[in-house]
Amino acid sequence: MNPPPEAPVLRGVGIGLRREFHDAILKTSRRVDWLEIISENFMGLDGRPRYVLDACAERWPIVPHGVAASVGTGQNDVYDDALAALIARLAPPFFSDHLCYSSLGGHESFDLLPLPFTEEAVAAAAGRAKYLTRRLGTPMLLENITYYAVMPGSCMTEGDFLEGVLDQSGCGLLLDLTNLYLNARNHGQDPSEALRRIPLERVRQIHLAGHSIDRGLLLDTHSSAIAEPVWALFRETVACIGQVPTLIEWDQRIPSLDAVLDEADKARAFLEEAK
Amino acid sequence: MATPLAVFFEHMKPFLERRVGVEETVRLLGPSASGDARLALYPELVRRQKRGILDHFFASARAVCVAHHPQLWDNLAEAYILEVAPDHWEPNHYAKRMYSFLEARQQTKTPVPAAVLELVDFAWIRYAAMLAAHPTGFAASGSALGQALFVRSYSHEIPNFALAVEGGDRAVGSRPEPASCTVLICRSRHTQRLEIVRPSLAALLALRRRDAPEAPLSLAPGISYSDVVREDQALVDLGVLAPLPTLQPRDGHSP
Repeated sequence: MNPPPEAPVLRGVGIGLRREFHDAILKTSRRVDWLEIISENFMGLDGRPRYVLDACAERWPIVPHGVAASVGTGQNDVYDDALAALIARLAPPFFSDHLCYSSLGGHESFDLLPLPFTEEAVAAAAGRAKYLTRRLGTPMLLENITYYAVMPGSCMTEGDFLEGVLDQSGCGLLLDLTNLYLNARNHGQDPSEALRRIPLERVRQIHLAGHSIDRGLLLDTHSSAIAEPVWALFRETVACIGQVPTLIEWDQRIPSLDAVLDEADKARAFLEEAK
Repeated sequence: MATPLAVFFEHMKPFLERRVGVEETVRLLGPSASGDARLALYPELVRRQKRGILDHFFASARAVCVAHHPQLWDNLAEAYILEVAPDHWEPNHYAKRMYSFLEARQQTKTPVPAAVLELVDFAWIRYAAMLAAHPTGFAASGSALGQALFVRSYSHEIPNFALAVEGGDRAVGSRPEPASCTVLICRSRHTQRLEIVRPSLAALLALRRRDAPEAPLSLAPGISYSDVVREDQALVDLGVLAPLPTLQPRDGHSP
């Protein structure tokens, strides 16, 4: 039996591999350091998704990023088996999902729903993240989500909640700076102060995305170019912690691949400033 | 004291499914520090996510409804969201039951136009063809035709219309032309891309032969066994079918 392939070291700036880029990405001669996939778009699927995945994996490191592990709501063996198969296929340096819940009673919401900030939720989320890390034999990162409302019953801050889960689970942090910015603005806080409350020593990856505004509320829509205040937070972050693998996400109103790669170039330039 | 997590989920589920309002949820769980209005966003965000999946997946069916049947798509999509719970992590799988949902409504509600039903069917079949594994070997190529290769007979020019809508080159307000339209829908073995083939009768017989290799092949008038063999090879060349090591003559027909 062949030994499992060695996980690649992730450096630089990646982009999210979306269906709209399946053709263009394989033809591009522009610099792409690595790719992130939405795990669920490839789990258990054959056909063209697998063909594209295999072709991309020959050129770039690929990291699976899930939206449905639902760390808040407990084990799902069918899901976990399918994710395990994907991880075994890609041998990534880590995989990631969100600190939230997304399914209830076997029904998917297709949304990233905030947990109440409580000790019990810390223990539940950390327990499932630890289980997944052990089950998949690969480090897991948890991403801070956007939340528009503090859930009823919450009795701690988001920062304490996040730190508690990371401490108890041993997971790294996928720091979504757009989410951090949106949360700060939507809840009347200063984004730079919010950044200082994050356990930056746990950051293993950064996400950057565009957002939209609806009746005064900043929404995490991944539907536009990254806003200047988020770029400013990014420079502030990498000035503190140095170079961290960074991903550009664009999931709605998806532009050309070149437009996304332009954003990646911009992020790379800021990362290199932090050398 | 914090609400137990199990109780939180028990009350959030009907709230997120819009079966219980925000006032009742707050009464049961306590208030959100962000206020009722912010908490009330969540059922709407979940609804929007599901609606976005359906609108995107069924873009051509939606386009026909919007142009020619005001409110129909809104009514269908919202009814689907209320009645069909997503049970698969891949968002596009949420579209799987739309055709059967619409078919079931045909008896009890205002019938959905045939072109809309056919566009819904085409959207799912095309997606399924792109995801299925290609069968390998002689036996599998017959038994697995239904997973990776679909034959459809529509009463409208469905594939051209759907692909044009998605390509953005179909005039707003148009709709599929009524016309008998038999197509093979599959993913090419050569290019891994969607392949839509208008089969001849001999090509359909070639498929029939692949699907049931042991069954007698009844040739139609004017079609010879060599026509079937030639069409089989043409489908192989297109990447629709896997090559066969040999195709032996049956039932007394000579190649």
